[in-house]
Amino acid sequence: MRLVAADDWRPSSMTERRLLELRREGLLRHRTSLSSPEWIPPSADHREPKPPMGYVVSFAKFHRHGLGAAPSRFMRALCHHYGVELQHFSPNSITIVAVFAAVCEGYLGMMPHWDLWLHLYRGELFNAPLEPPE
Amino acid sequence: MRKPVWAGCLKLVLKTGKTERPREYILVGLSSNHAGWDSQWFYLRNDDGLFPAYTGRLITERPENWTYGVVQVHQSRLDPLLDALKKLRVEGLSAALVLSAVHHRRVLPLMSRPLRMDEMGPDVSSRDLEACRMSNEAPADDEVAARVRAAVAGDFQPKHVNGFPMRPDAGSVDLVRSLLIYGFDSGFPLLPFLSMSLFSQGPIDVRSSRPPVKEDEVNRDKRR
Repeated sequence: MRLVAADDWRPSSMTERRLLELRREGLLRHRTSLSSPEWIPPSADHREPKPPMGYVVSFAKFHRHGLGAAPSRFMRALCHHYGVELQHFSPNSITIVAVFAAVCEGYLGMMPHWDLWLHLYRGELFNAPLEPPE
Repeated sequence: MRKPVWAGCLKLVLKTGKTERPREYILVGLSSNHAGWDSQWFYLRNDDGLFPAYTGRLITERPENWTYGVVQVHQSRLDPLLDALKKLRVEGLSAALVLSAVHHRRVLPLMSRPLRMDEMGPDVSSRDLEACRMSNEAPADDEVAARVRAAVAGDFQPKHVNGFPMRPDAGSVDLVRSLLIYGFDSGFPLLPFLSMSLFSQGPIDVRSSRPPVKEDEVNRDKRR
C-alpha cells in the first residue's frame, strides 16, 4: 500500500480546567507536586507535543476508558511487546485492553494472562484514508 | 492511498482463526464515535519511566510480532481459561457490563494497584483499598452508564450498572460451582480440573502467563 505524509498533529484542546474535570471524575490522580505535577496541559505554543523530560503524551479518552498512572504491568508489557509509545494506542485499543484486564482480575481471579492475550488478540496498523479534495 | 497517523496507529483486533476460539470470548462491541479524541492530548508524568519515553516516532509498517500468538504446544494449557470465558459469555457477561463494574468500583484497570480487583473484599486493609480507588464515592449510575456508552456500542442504561458483579462481591459468578453444576461440553471431570487450573496454578504454565516487561530482558541479560 502506498503511504503519503502524515498530517500534522492537531493542537490540543486540553486546558487546566478540563484536566481538573477529569480529576474530579476520578480518572486522574490528585496533583501532589508543584514542581513536577502528575499531569499538565500543553503550553499554548505547543502545536505538537513537546513533553517536558519525564512526561509522556496521553489523551483524555484513554483515562475515560481505563488507563491510569502509574501503568499496570500488563499495560507496560503491551508497550514493550508491540514496541509502541502511549500515543500509538487508539481509544478502542485501550478499551479492549482494559476489558481484558478486568475480566482476568474481576471474573477469572488472576492477573492478566499474557498467553491468553496473545491467543485472542493481534495488532493491526491503522492508516487514515485520504480525504477527497474539496 | 492512505496516510500514517501520529496517534492511534495500533489497532487491537480479536483473532478469527479456527484455533483461537474467538467466539467464546465475551462480546466487545466498540464505540465508533471518537471524533476529536486526538486533539485531547496532555502531558502525563512518567513515574519511574514505566511508560516508554515519548519520541514522536511515526510507525509506517506493521512489525511482524504484532500478530504473534502462542506456540501450538502451549495452546492446550489455555483450555480451562477459554472454557471459563465461554461460561461467562453464556451467563451474559459483555464488555459493557465489565466496564460498568469497573467504574462502579472506582478502579482504573490499567493502573498499577496494590490489589487485584478480585482481592478488593472486606478483609483487606482500608489503606490498600483506598490506593486502588480513584475517588471516595462511587459515581452515580447514570454517570457510569454514560461512561460505558462512550466506550462501547449499544444503549447501556443505568439500571444495568453492576448487573454482573465482580468477585468477591455478592452475586458474582462462582466459576468453580457454576461449572460443576452446568458442566463443560467436553465432560471432563470438572471441579478438580478447574479449581486447580484457575486457583492454584495447576496445569497452567504460570511463567508464561506473566506479562513480560522490559526489565525482564535486562535482568535476564545480567544473569548471563
